[in-house]
Amino acid sequence: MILAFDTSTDWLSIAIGRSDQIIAEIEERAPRAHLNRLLPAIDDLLKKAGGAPGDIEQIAVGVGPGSFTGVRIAISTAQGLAHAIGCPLIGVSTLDTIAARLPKSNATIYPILDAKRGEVYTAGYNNLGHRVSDHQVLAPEKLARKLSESGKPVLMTGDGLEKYRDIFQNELGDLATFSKPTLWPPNASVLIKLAREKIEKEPVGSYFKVLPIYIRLSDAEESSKREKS
Amino acid sequence: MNSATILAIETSCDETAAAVVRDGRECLGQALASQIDLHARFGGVVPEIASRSHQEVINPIIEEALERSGKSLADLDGIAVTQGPGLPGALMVGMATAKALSFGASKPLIGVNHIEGHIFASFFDHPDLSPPFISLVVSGGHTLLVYVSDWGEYEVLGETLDDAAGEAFDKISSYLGLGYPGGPIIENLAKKGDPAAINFPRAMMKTPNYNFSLSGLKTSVLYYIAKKKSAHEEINLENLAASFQEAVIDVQVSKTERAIREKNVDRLVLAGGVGANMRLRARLAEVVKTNGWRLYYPPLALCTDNAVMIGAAAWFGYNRGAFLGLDAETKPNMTLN
Ligand SMILES: [Zn+2]
Repeated sequence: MILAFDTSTDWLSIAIGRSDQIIAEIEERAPRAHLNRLLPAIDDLLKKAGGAPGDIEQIAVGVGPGSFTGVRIAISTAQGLAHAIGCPLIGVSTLDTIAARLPKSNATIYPILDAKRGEVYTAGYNNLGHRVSDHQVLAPEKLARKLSESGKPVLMTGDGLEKYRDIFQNELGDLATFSKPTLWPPNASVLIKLAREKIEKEPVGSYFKVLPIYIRLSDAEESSKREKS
Repeated sequence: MNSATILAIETSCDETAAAVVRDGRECLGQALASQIDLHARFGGVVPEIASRSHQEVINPIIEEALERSGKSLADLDGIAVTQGPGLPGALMVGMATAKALSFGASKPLIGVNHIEGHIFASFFDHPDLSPPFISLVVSGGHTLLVYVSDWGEYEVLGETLDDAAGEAFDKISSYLGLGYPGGPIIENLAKKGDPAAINFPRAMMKTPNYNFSLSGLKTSVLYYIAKKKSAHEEINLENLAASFQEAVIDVQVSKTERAIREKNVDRLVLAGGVGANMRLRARLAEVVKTNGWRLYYPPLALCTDNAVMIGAAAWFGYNRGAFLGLDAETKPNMTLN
């Protein structure tokens, strides 16, 4: 049995897989309720799947970027479970999961997550599903300008579009298409698929080496960096 | 009381700690990672840096504590975690980890009040100690006077209305460019100074309640420094530190003495990081001796934040059957009682 979850965004997405199938899943919007909801929901799903914690053989977790707190709740929970059960833990980028939810496309896929403070988290993915840029955090206006200058078609997804879709639409015009909002959350069934690919490609390290992707420093470090420069 | 071996986790501020404690009185193994160096250049604890660091080290720390205790998760009777008060993001790392361990290993989960933990730290050196007593809890984040009438029965008599004692020490130290954390630095300087050299205000000394306020004192110290600087007069740091420290301690000692009298008890438990301050201990010892009372305090290593004290308090929660569900949340503003 493989258990996967991502709580980096407002969404709580959990899935349980066995062999090549997804046998139970849940996707609910639970802003600021992840600590409270995550384990009860995992418990429910396990019961539905007819299993117990001891049946879990692998855990996959979304490691961000996203809400600092949300990412830490997911990883702390995943690490605690991996320790208690004694199973391997695989970390997957939340942006990777969001991008991989879309069907293959000729346009470069850009998942967009609200990073607060007028910025978004994003990365680009080619038609093979490979990440073609680093994870980055920047103002949506700046990203829109960069993409418009490159002149290539893009497909945008992710719940950062709720706030910033107009900015991309206005700047990119026909170059940009947008996925349906139902495809925006980082889906745990997709996360299972990516985790399985990762296991085949590389050895799984120690469970406590799976750490958050923050991209951004803490506010205090950001401002002391600004003061110095 | 039933016997229990409990793994305790503490992440409420800037120490990541885990300990395996048997029957609330015996530490079988512990591990602790201090973040002091990470926060030093900011002159105080930065919450986001604290949360990140807890996350990175919590599991290695838990594994180390288990290894030192010779126990595995399966041997335990329960998992305990600090539920509050503390920094929200920092508490969350401990709680999410503890909940997952408890669910994954099928062990009951006990939520512990951090302040209760500080009070319980004294039981390690003094197994004879029992309520009723008055406890003065002073640390980087807390200053309060508590009446413990019975096991698990708390009445908070008063607390700080603004800065905690440790915070005030940090701010003065940082303003003078002396470093962080301020407590030990000011205490060291004060040893060679005259506590009566400068007459700083003793805020709320005469008010009938048990609350404390340190912002007025802090302002007058900063004002004193600014005045001396602008007059190009040299500041005697030792006298300044001693006078400031004495003003803080005077109020604490006088209110503590009054609380012991009012509640008609004969025991005082000093708890928290500032409880390691030798001047405070000496002044309280004096009062206690004159009145024929007894003073208890934890071993030095258990004054500052640690998980051993959480494991001590958890034993009582375990025996009360006060277990948390999978939906448990942190309580950053958790109060005693
Ligand atoms: Zn404390």
